[in-house]
Amino acid sequence: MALKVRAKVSLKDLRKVEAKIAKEFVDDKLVNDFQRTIVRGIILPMIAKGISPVKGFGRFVGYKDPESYPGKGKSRQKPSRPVNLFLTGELMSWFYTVKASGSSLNVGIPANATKFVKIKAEANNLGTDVIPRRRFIPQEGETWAVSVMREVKNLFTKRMKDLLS
Amino acid sequence: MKIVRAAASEAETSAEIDLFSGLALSKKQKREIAQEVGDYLVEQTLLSVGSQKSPIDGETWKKLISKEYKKKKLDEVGNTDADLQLSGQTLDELSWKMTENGIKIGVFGGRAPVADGHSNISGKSKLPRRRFIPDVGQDYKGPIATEVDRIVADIVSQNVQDVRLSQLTKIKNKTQLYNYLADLFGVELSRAELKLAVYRNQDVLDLLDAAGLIGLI
Repeated sequence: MALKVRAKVSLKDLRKVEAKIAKEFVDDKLVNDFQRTIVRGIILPMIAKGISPVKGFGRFVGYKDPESYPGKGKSRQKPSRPVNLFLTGELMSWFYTVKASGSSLNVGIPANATKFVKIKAEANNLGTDVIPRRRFIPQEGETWAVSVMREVKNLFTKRMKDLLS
Repeated sequence: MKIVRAAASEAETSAEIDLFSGLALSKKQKREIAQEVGDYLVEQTLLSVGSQKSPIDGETWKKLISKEYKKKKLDEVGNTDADLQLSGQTLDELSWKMTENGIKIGVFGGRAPVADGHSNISGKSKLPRRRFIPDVGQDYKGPIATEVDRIVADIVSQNVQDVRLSQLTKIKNKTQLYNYLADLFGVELSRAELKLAVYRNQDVLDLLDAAGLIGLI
C-alpha cells in the first residue's frame, strides 16, 4: 500500500515501486483483462461497425461493387454495409492478446493461426491489387485509435493502482 | 465541453464545441486536445450510430418505419437496421475541424443536407429524428463527456511547468490539495478523475511526493 495509504513515501521508494511495476506489470490477469476489455470491449466492436481501430484510418472502404460482393438477394452472405471483416467470422475469431517477452503484449493475429487466416489478415490489413486496405492492426509508427488508447490507458492506470496497493 | 453553435447548410451540418475557454493552453496543447477529442468524438459517434443509438444525451433513436424504405434497405444493403448506412456516404463524411476555441464536428461536403435530414439541426426536416450531431445546449452522453474531460485533463496535466514546490508546501489537507489540482488541470473533474490524472503523470506524482502530499491523494 505504498501510494494508496496515507504513508509518506520517499522518491527512493517510488523508484523501487517503478521497478516492481516494470517487473510485475504484465501477468496472466492483465493479458485476460486486455483481451476482455480492450479486444472484445472496443477493438472488435469498432471493426464490427466498420471503423478501423487504427488511428487515422477512419471507416473501412466500401465494396467496389456491392451487387457482386458480398452478393445480392439470396446469394448475399452478409450486409454490404458496414464493411466489417466479419464475412465468415473466422479471421476475427483469431484476434488475440498474448504475452510477449519482457513487459510487452502482442495484440492481433497470433503466429499459430492457420495459414489461410494469416494470408487473409495480411491482405486486408495491407491491401492487395484486388482488396482495398482495411487496416485493423497498426503497423510500425502507427497507433491504435483514440477510443482504444483511452481504454488502454484506463486499464493500465487501474493495473498500476492495483500493483501499488 | 460545451456546444456553443450548430449549423446546417448545403456545405456542412455541424456543431461547434468549446474545449479551451478558461484554460491557459499553449498552441501545441490546443492542437493536441483538438486532435484527440475530435478523433474520439467521431469514433464514438460512429460506434453509437452503428448500434442504432444516439451519442447525445436524452436523444432517442427511431427504428425504420416506412415499409418501402425497409424493403429498399434490405434489398440494397442486406438489413433493415436504422444505422444511417444505405450507401454509407454520409457517415464517410463525418469528421472534425479545429476552431479558435475547440472543434467543429459534423458532416462537411455534399452529404451535409442528408446529415441535417437525420439530425434536424435546421428544424426543417420531416424525417424521423436520429440525431448524431448535437445542437446548442445539448451534451454528449455521460461516458463520452467524461472521457473528453479526461482527455483534456491528461493533456493539461502533462504541462506541469507552472507547479512550484513552494506552492505545494502550503497545502495542508485533502480539500486544499484537490482544489489546487482542480485549478491546475482547469477542468471540472471529480476527485476520482483528478486522482487518475495524477496517477497518469509521473512528473506530478514526483512533485506531490517531494512535497509530502502523496498520502493525501
